[in-house]
Amino acid sequence: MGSRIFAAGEAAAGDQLVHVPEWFAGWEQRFSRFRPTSELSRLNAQAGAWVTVSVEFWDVLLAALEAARRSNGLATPLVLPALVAAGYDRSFTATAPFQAVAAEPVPIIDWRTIELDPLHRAVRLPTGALLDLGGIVKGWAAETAVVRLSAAGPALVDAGGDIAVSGPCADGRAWPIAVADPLASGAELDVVLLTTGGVATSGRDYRYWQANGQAYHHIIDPRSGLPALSDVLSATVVAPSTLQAEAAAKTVLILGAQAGLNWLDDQPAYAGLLCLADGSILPSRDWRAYSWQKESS
Amino acid sequence: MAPVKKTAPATGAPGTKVLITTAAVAATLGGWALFAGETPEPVTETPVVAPAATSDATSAPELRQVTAPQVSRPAPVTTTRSSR
Repeated sequence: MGSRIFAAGEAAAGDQLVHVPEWFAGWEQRFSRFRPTSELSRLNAQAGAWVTVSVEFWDVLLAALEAARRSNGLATPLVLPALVAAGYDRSFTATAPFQAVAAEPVPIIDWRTIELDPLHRAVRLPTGALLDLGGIVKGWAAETAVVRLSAAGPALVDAGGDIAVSGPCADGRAWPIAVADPLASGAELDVVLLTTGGVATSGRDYRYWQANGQAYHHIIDPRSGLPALSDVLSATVVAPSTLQAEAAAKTVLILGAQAGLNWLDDQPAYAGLLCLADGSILPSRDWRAYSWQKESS
Repeated sequence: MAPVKKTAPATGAPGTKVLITTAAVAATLGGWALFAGETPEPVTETPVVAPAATSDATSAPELRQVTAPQVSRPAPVTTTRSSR
């Protein structure tokens, strides 16, 4: 995933905490699009054919399709061709510069054309489709790890900024989680207090690059096949699950500030905090319920 | 909703904690994390001396001043940010 992983738990979770790196290493092996031998890469190489997948892969794929449904297709798992065309054809940790290769936008195949056979746990991608589960996997991995750790007590897992909590801390308090300021390294926009669910941030402030005299970033707008043109620099969303938060943050960034806030307000138990490119900070209607500042007023 | 311009963030008081951090494919580290949250300041009361009683039926009722508790910005356990 090329991301920093952090896990916190009670003393009794120590035996499980030491396994967290191997869990993530295994998920990297299975879901990375940069590994030719990953289950994802092997599925992509067989687009057009029925392929039986693992239980974990099936679970993540279903979560990705649900995210696409809830976002009306904005958070689709089929943007990989457009990502590659924009230059994101290697891990962000690679040293070679990205090169955009396509002068024209790449059309995005409709996610609803992915066929599922639940009886055999099989998938058929439409011919020419390439699946990318990068963002969804982080949220899923954070949730899966926190569930495993929670057997020993309250736990929190941060997978590259996608954060899951198993419940309140042992003393009943909420987990305080800072929201990074994308315009000031080390600074915070707010601190949220979580006792359940998850929080995730999507932004164009980190994974971006210059190519052919243009600025690119990794959040593709499936409506255009190009990096999203948005006034939102970063979107942080709290949701009942980290998976949902991850997909919602991406959706809000693609939609832009006003449409994104309206969409958030329509989602039960979602709240968001947006930082715009001009430095403005916009909370959604229900954000304050999660902010530490509600306890100071 | 009206936009809010950024201000310098307040610094939270440090908690006591030991953290575990792992890279996605790094070797194992051991330990656990404990979080000590902030305890709000207790409510304090400053009584106001009431004026001398009069026979005026419209005199103001006796009031007490209460100082609201000051809640400090909690020290975060971790930070959510765009993909790292």
